Amino acid sequence: MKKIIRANKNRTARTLREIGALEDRYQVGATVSRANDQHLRAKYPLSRSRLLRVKMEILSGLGKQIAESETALRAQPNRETTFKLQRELIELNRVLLQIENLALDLRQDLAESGPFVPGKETEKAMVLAAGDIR
Amino acid sequence: MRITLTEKNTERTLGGEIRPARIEDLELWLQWLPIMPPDAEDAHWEWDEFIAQGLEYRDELVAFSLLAENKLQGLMLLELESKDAEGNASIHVLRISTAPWNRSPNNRYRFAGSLLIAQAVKLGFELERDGRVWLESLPGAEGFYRGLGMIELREKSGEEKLTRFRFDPVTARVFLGRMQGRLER
Repeated sequence: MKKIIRANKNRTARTLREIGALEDRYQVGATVSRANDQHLRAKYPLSRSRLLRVKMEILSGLGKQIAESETALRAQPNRETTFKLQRELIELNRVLLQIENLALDLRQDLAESGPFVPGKETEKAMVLAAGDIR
Repeated sequence: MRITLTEKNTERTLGGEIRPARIEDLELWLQWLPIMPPDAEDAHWEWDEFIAQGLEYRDELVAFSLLAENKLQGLMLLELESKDAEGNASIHVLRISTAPWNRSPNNRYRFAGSLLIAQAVKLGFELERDGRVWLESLPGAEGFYRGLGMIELREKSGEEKLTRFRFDPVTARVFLGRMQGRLER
């Protein structure tokens, strides 16, 4: 079966200038279909702890950005920076939720891991930590 | 790899580089988030996870950052061991995004997207894939890949019916030839 529709000769940019102009007219974006995405996530999984570390990096970066926006806003209040700060805070909430979910998943994994039974010291530490969080 | 972008409004050229993404690039990626158009087809993409995947599976995946003027101008994630529609060993472009300020109609710099694709094709030659590269295009980007000279396939991908494009050895060489002057070793 011939799978090719066309070689796009008529629509191909022939010069460097024409290639540059393509980005004025079109989006640039390639992705994978949902089915492929699931396949790739299964093929190249990231452990929860690895993801947690990545999200912590993001959290740290967002913290810096928010501090900068806050300083800029104090120096010169304007709508643009206010909007930027709002978007950053939305991102912060999103990442915090991701971290919370990952932590919950990790605790679930731990609970389901079978033979591990926390000793008294561990239990005590967990109770104290939970108290700190609350 | 050293590259050259062009500022759209002034036609000024400026240097930059494409290199494997590092975890510290995430701080630069964060600059995209507050200004990303909410309706962008890639607005929800978690580049932090894609970069982490690239770092975790170094033999199979690689993420690239395009940097210029101390900003992240574009990102791309490649799968190195893939097969195109003809069953040939090929590079698979899993994800590619340009910075929100490089998007039509008010894009600041030209060539961010085409240089990233050129990097994929170059790797396709270096890794003995004869320049073969394939991808599934977001609907709004199909004209871009047609314009680069990629071959459009009849068979669509997934429920979303994403259009597939590929470079074969001939079209890959033509494209890289056109990009000369923008890429240096």
